[in-house]
Amino acid sequence: MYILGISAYYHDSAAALIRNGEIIAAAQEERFTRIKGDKSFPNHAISYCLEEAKLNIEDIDHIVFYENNLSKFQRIIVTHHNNVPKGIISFIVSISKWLTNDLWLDQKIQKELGKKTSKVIMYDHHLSHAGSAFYPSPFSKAAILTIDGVGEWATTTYGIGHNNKINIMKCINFPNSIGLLYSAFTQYLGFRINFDEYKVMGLAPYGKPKYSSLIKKELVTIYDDGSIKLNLKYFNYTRGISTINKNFEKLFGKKKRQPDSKITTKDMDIASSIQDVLNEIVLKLANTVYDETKCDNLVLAGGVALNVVTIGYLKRHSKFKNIFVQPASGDAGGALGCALSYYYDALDNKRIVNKQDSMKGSLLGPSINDHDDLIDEQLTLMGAKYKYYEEKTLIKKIVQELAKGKVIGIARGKMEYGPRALGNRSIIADPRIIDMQSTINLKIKYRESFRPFAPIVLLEDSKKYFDINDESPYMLSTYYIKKELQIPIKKNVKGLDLLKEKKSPIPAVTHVDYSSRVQTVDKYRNPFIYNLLKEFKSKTDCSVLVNTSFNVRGEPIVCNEIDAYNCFMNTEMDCVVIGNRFFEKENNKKV
Amino acid sequence: MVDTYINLKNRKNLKKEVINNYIFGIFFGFSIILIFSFNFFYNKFSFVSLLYILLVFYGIFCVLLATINPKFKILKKLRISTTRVFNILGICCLDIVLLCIYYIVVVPIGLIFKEKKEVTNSSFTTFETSYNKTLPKYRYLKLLSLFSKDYFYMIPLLIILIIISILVFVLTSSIFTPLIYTMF
Repeated sequence: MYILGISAYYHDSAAALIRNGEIIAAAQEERFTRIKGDKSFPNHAISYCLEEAKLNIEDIDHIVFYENNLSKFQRIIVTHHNNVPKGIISFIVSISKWLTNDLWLDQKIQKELGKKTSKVIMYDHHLSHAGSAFYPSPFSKAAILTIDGVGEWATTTYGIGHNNKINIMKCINFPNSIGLLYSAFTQYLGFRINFDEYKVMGLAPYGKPKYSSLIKKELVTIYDDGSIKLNLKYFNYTRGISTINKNFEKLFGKKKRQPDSKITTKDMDIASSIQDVLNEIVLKLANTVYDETKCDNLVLAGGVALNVVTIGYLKRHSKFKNIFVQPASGDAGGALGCALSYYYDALDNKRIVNKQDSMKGSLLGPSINDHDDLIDEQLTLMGAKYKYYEEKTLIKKIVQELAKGKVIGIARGKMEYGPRALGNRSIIADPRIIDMQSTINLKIKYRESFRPFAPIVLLEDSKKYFDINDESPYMLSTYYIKKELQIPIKKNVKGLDLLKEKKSPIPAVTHVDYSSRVQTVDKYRNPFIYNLLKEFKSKTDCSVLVNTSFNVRGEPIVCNEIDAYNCFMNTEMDCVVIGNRFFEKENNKKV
Repeated sequence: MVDTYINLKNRKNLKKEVINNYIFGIFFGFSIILIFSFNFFYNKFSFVSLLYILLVFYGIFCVLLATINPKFKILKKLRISTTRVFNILGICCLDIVLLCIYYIVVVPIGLIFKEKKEVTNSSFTTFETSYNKTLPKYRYLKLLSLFSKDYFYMIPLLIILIIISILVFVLTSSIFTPLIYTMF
């Protein structure tokens, strides 16, 4: 039985295909259209999924959409009634959009796919998230926690999954939303809502949580069970178009930061404070879930589950023994979740638990083959000059260049599903070089200098560098550098100057609070990167590399050989590996 | 070689586009020729009459293009821009209707039935899934049954919105959109 899951029309459209519960393919539309966070109908992603399984759209047994538009419409109508007489503009804008488009979503999807296809099943947003976290997890029984901005009504849910069934017990409903609270600060700090929340997270360690008590006193009431109530006096999302209002700005004593303007110490303190509050809320929530379910395993999904700092905090402080986070926790993962939930929960099919997890290393996207005549032809047409190497020689060549301090792009094998580059669409470098972070940020990625880079480390060596007790194959949690490796920072150094300080023997991947977003690499999920790390270790005695996504600021991660080559040519990257082809900048100069 | 979903879709869209261009050229062209030639002969000659003449020529131009070759890029551009203009007009009308509905229906109902804020020590509630197999099959019945439980007082508004949505859907999703607007 083939089930196609689709998420679209809000942000980060995606498609996922499962066969009898096994994930065959999954990809985000943005990677094909090259529009970051593309929300349009995922035609390209669907096309890829069908090609991967050698199917036509008519061969699909069920088509499932990740949320229910009618329940969402109900929430919108009720919210407008609760906010009268304010909110006229929001009423006209949203209802006009609903009447002309969103109310007919199932029909619209059917039309997009072709008339011969079966009826589209509109699933539940948070059940989709829950399914995306529980069914691919390595647990037969687990507590489930989903947290995001908002689905239909729910913003946070918890429950329990057992074999093939999910039972969601409680939820927090709109307008009380943990995700929207964090998004409000994203907007206030001059970043884009639904896209740049991770920047707030990256900024937080530079500041001090000076405003935590103010946030808890004025903006959000945190109950003992972790549920929250927002003070809507400071927010505008129930009756306006923006998330925050003037009261919010008055509370912090300054207007919201303009994009690309200088980041002040106050901005850093505010980022630190909201991160601190988020950690507190999620920990309380998780402990409530533990007390209610009495289960040692926890699975998480929803946009907030992508906050690696909070997940790291949960791993260190919560009552749960094992935590699994869906690698594509955002709305893109909803495509996979709704397909899996429908197959197991709604159709009551038997579930086989994979001890490692069933995400296949999250390598579910289109592949760049090692040898492919078509790719060679395209690259030659673009004027590319490269050399072929066998895998072993290629690894040696890469290590040789890395040891010289060069920055190398890697685009080979299947593309990652979710926001993290896990080695197949990555930029790698030597983490021991102190200015490597600013070099990659400013010369290659063209992004804010404060943002840290993540390390990839051999699974067996991870404990040598980090305080880590489990594996972290999907880079979804932060861990601290081992105490004995931490180099104390001078007391008078503050703010962005902290970046220039050497904080550990691997400074390029050590954030200013000594944390790192670690990815452990094993030989089963990604043998190429595993062998590369082994070779790097044998040459340098260091089994860690910098790993950042293969893209530049504002663009999605590269998908195919053309994207990879263009990105290489348009940046100051030294070398790139596409399949088994090795490209050097000296031989590939722009004409 | 098996054709991919995206290629098939693109080909289908191309075919559909040609048909849409043809329908637009013939029907829209003829209707504005009829309507504006009637207006031209019926009214006294004035500045507006010049506009009528221009529109009649525009209609003739559309019909000619559709008859000669509906694949003409210019015909596609004319269709898209005309539809866009009429859609903007439609949305403006819709916004005015919604503005009236807001003050006549939503505000009074909202003020009377505003949900009271209860002081509690938790904001957790029981989860009710929106994926429910027992709901009626048809969209509007499904919507009505969703509201009938806790929000029965919003049903009059819902019925008004449903009627508008049907009208809007018919108007905006059809190739005849410009034709329907022109009639008015």
